[in-house]
Amino acid sequence: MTEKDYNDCVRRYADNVFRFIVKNLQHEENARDIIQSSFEKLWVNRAQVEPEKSKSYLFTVAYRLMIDFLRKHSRTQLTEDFAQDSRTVDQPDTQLRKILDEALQRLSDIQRSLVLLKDYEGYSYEEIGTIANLSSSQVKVYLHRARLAMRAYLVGMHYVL
Amino acid sequence: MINLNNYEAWFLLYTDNELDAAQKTMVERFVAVHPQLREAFEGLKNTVLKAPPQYANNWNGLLKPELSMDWQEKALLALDGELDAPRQKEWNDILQENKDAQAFHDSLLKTKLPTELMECPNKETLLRKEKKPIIIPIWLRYVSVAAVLTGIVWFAWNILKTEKTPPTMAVTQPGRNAISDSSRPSMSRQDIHPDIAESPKANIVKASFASNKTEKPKEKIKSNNHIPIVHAAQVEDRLVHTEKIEVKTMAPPTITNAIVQDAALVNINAVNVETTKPAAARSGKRMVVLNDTDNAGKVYVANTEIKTQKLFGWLKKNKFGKSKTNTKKIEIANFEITVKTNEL
Repeated sequence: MTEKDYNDCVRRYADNVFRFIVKNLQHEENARDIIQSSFEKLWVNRAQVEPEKSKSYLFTVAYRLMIDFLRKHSRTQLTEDFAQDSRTVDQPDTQLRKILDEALQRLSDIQRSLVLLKDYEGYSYEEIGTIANLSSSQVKVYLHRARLAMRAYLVGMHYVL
Repeated sequence: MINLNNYEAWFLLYTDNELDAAQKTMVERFVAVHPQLREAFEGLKNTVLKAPPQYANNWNGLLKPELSMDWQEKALLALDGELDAPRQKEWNDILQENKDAQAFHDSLLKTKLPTELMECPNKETLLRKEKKPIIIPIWLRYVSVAAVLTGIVWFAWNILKTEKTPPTMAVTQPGRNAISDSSRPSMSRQDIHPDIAESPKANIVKASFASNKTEKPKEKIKSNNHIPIVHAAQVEDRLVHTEKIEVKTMAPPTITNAIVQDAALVNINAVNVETTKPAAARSGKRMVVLNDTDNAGKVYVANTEIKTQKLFGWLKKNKFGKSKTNTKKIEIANFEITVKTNEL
C-alpha cells in the first residue's frame, strides 16, 4: 500500500469506521481516538496491507480496539454523553431512528457490532466473521438472534411502523 | 359376562365410554335379546353431556400464527442478502402465497438500520504527505552520464599526465621573470654568470606543473650565502669514484655539461642514481635521489636552498604521497629529484 492508497483509504473509509465506532461507543471523542489509532496502525503496517483489503483491515483493527476499550471503560457514562451529543445526523423519520437506536442499544456488544457491520457496511457473514474473529455460523446465529430481539422489541413496545 | 343380575353396571360403563369395542358389542347384543331393558339403556346414554356446537371453533381466535423454523431462517437470510438465487426465488414464492410469511418479513424489514451518514471530524489530520516522484527528463539523464564520463576521462588523463610529466620548478632571480626549463632549452654554459654560480642570491622557487597552471610563488626561499660550496672537482671525484652516479643530460647537452661541471652547486649527502635503465632509454635530465638532507633539514639544488619540510608539505598538498610506486620525481632547475613518498 502506497501513501496514495493510504490517503484514499482515509478519504473513503474514515466516515464509515467513525460511524461504526461511534454507534457502538455512543461517544464521539473516544470514537475519534480509536479512529486515530486505527489509521496509525494501518500506516505502520501499510507494507503488509493490500489496498483492496484495506477496508476490512481497518474495520478489524477498529473493532478490536473498540472491544478493548469497552472492556476497560464503563458503558453507562458513555451512553449519557452520547445522548447530549448534537452532532448526530437527524433523519427524516427521527422517531423510527430513535426506536431503532433503543432496540440496538438493548443488544449485546457483539450483536450490535454485527448488525452495524451488516446493515451499514453490507458485509457478508464471512467478512463479518473475519472482522469479529467469528465463524460464519456464529455470525449467522448472532445476527438472527439480534434481529428477532429487535423485532420483539419493536412489536412489544407497540410501535406500529 | 353380562346377565340379568349385573346388566346395570355394564350399562354405566358403556355410558362412560369405559368399555372396549368387544364389550360394547356384547352389551348391545344383550339389550337386543332383552328388549324390556332397552329403555333403561337409552336413558343412561342420554345422561351424557355433549358440548354445544357453537363453541367448537372459539379456540381458533386465541391461536397465534406459528412460523416454522424454515420460514424464520429464510426470512432472516433474505433480509441479510445471504440467500442464493434458487432459495431466494423459493422464498419470494412463499411470500406471495402466505400472508403470515409476508407479515413476518415486513416486521423484520423494520429492524434493518436505515442509512445514516456521519462525517468523521478532522479527517485531514489522518492524511499523510505524498511524495511526488521526481521526473528527470531523459535528455538530462544522458547529459549527466556524459558529464560524469567526461569528468572521469579528464581525471584519468590528468593522473596519467601527472605521473608521466614530473612537475618542474623554475628558478628565478629577483627582478627577473621566471623562466621554465622548456622556455630556455638552448641555455649554454656561457649564459650562466660565474657570480651566480659562486655567490647565489636570494632566489624564488616557482613551480609550474604539467596542468599548465601557473601558481604564484608561495614562498620565497632565500639562498644561503654561507653554504659550504663543494667544488666541481670534488663532485666530479665523487661521481667518478662511485661510478654509480649517472648524470643524465638533457638536451641541449651544453647545459648538462655546465651543470655537471658546476656540480658544486649541488650539495647532496647521499646520492642514488637509477642505473637500471639502459643508457639509450635514460632521460637527459640529471637524476638525483634525495635520501637525506643536512641537519637543518635543507637541501640545495642548483644553488637554491630548499627546505625539505616545505618541499614535503608541497608534495603532500599536491597528493604526491598517493603514488603506488612509493617514489615521486620532481624537476628543479633541470634536476630531477626522486623523493621517497613514504616519508611524507
